[in-house]
Amino acid sequence: MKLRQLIAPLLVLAFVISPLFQSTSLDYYSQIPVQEGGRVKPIDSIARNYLIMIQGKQSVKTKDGKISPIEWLLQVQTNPEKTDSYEIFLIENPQVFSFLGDQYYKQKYRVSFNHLLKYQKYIMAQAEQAEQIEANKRNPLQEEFVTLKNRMIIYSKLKNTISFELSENFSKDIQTFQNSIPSGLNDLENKRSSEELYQLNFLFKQFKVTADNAIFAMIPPEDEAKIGDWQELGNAILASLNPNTPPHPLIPLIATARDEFKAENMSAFTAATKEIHDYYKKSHPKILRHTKLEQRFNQLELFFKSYLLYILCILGILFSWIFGNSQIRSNTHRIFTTITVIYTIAILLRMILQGRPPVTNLYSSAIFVGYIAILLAEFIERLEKNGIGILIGSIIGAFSLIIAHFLSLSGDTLEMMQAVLDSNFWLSTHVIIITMGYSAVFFAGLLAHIYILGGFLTKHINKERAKRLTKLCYGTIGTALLLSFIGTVLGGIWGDQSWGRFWGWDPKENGAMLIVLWTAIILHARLVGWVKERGIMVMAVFGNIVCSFSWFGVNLLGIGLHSYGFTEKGFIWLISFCASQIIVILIGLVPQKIWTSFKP
Amino acid sequence: MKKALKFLGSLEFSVINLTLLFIVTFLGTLAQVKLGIYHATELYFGSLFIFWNVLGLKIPVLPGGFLIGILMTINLIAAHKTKLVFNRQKIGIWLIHFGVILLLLGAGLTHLMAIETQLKFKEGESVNYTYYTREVELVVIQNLKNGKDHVISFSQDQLLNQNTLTHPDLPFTLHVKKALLNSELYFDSELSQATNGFGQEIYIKTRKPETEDNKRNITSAYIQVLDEKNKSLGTWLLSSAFKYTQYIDKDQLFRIEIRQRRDYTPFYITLNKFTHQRYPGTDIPHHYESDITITYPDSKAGFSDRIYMNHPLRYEGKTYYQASFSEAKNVTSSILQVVENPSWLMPYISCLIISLGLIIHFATMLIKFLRRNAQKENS
Repeated sequence: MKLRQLIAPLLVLAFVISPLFQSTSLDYYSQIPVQEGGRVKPIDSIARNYLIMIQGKQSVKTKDGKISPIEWLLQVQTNPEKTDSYEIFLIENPQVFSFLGDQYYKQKYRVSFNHLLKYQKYIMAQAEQAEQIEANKRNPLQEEFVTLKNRMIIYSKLKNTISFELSENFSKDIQTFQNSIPSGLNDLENKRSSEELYQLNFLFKQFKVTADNAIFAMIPPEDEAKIGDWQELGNAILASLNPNTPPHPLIPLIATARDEFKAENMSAFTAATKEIHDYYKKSHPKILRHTKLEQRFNQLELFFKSYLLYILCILGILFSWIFGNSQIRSNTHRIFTTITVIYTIAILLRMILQGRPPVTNLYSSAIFVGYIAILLAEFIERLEKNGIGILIGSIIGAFSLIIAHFLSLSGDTLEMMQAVLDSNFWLSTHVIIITMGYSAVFFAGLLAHIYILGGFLTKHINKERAKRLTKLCYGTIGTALLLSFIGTVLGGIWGDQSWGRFWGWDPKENGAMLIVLWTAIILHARLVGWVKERGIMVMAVFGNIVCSFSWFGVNLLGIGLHSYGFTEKGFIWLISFCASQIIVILIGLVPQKIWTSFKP
Repeated sequence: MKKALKFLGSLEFSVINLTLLFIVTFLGTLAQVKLGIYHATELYFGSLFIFWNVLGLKIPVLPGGFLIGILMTINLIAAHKTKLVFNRQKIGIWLIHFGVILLLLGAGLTHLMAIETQLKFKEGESVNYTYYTREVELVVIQNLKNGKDHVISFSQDQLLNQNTLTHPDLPFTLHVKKALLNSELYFDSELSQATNGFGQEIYIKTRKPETEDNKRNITSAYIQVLDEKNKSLGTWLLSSAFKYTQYIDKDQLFRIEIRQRRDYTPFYITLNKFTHQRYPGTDIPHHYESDITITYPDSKAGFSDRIYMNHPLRYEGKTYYQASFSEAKNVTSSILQVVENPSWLMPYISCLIISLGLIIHFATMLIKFLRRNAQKENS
């Protein structure tokens, strides 16, 4: 291999891992472990996931430029007056504030918490009215009000999770509280009113608020090996009321870090967060290793970068075709292969973080569909060496990441699993193979796109190329049948093992069966001679519709065991996708005489 | 005749069948939204024909899943007689199609023979029956005074379709005055037909049968009891919504009720302990488990076992799965799904054969393709 050939991959690598070399004063803080949603994660993940839930993206735009998620969270917890003015609350329905005039009659915009407070009564009333209706029967506007209300609640809770909003000096408040306990309790017992008792009562109420509203818990159980409930900071502070419980060593450290950040005293802040780190290093090293890794993984944003690189690959292949330049193609191929390596690492990291096989929810199925497509693409590109594999791989890769992005808007993508699904064996067999089947169907569908759109619009599809494409497409459909069938059967066995039914006509099972049937129909229809080259291609495009129904459509039906996480907005996208596929099918059905290619 | 046979074994017929099954599966899945999984399955997949209501007429518009299954089986068997000959090159293809025949037969057998019931018990409770979740029975239970009961049961069909119910062991005749598959209960003493028992002020009105998967019918009936001389002892209201004990004789030896249909087992199953865990800091259930013991009333040896997710107990032709649990008034009950399916191994065997066939065929094709490709590149 020549040095010249390494240039593109090295540039890509440099682009991808560059964040690891930028350290900020917030790094220690962002790696602090907390427990939320049934698992322990770095506070950085909290900031990112909740930002995504509130505003649909991770970085926050302020008047003074962009700030990182963790900085935002710190500001929320120390300087809420400032963050109340950030325009982060996503409004996705033009009717929400339509009464305010044109400015608010946009499809999608963000407003500040201050703005929402002005109309709080109105929003809450609308949301409460909507909540009377069953979730799947609400109209989009009603749904939007419920979402908006939840976003406001989340934000308010975040403000109060560590300290209470009003606290000027949290360390001092804790100190005062602890100091006034002995005499305050004594006064209470003797029914005497005193300054201490008043202090105690006031602070008790404040800490109780933070304890009750905490979104995450910050105080770990003593023993690292014991998996159990963590304690909210507020509750840990209140525990001092029992004279036999010494205050947890993390309490003053977290309070100091919070106060120093509020005072914009960054060196003292870093020192305090370093001490928190040292505590974990000594007593909970495994947890700290985990959260450090997860924070690094968040920071690298490997999937987002892969997405950008796929776009680059798509452009690269198109340019190589337009200019007939094989140099561009082979460089693009090298970049593509580098992404494949990066993507593999990203999936492995997710598996390590979750301690699970790669596909555990709808989000990770999208990630994995993309992964299998790029592996298939790599295989086909090595066979064909004409860029078709890369183009298709990059398109499916990019699309699946877009889908994954939208699916990630609902929160933590490393969420815990329902008890029924809690089986690593079946997750790593049935789910993986089914997902691979989806990928193969889409791959065949896109090969058909190249045949139909390429043939209709350009003159580059000649007889030989057409034959080659058909062969590849047919082979991929065969692969899809194999994978879907085996995947479905494994699902049946899982079903039989866990609830006694091999087959229960659950919508998701039916969806998988539809894929098996459709691919079988294509193969048999060709054997009969009912379809030839073009017919196979048209049917392969329809396969995309079948597959998207099976993957997402059945979740929309909202019934059965597999009906998790998919929304109204998803429905519109699904319909649009199917419509686009029908257009391609119709083009494919236009008599070939009118096509640009295949002219005698 | 020959022509017909040829068509039955033809590939064309296969494509038609596959396409029909594709359409029926799709429609059946959509129908589940309205009808619920259970009823849509009955109508679309377990039936011979799918009927649509056109202008009040029931018109068969499509073959049902069961009929398509039969047609596919015929198609495949006929094809095996003609085209799908067993030879070395086509061993993969042959295995696939042979496996599909077994799969279809297995599916048919399961449809006809499998019985699904449930079992619900609290910690410390022992039961010797499982119950059907979608079917009731009318029972008269005779107290035999030696601590045992004698149960005389009438099926849901008998209750809904017969006017009088008799049984040789029963010194009474039961006259069904009114029986409703699904009902609503109202307080109305004037309209009530009951003269005895708890239902004297309750009137029952018919309701559309429930289709949603998590709802059950409330089956109710007014039953008049006549003694051997045909003298009326009174009329009782029975309902699957009741949990009262109602005696029909003065000596209180015979009680009568409508309840979920039961299957008795020769052994008792006792719930020793039920544990359920959730993910720390959340309400998401993580693991639930029933610790059970099986005992026989006659000193035959019993045993203990644990039943949890993905770990069922197979015993005496029945399989017990941990399905869910219920919490009511601080009492947690474990719910087991009980399946009796004599053909449960069929899908395993057939799918193994098909998968094997698919892999053999796929590998052969791939090797062929790659070899030809290599040849092309060399030339």
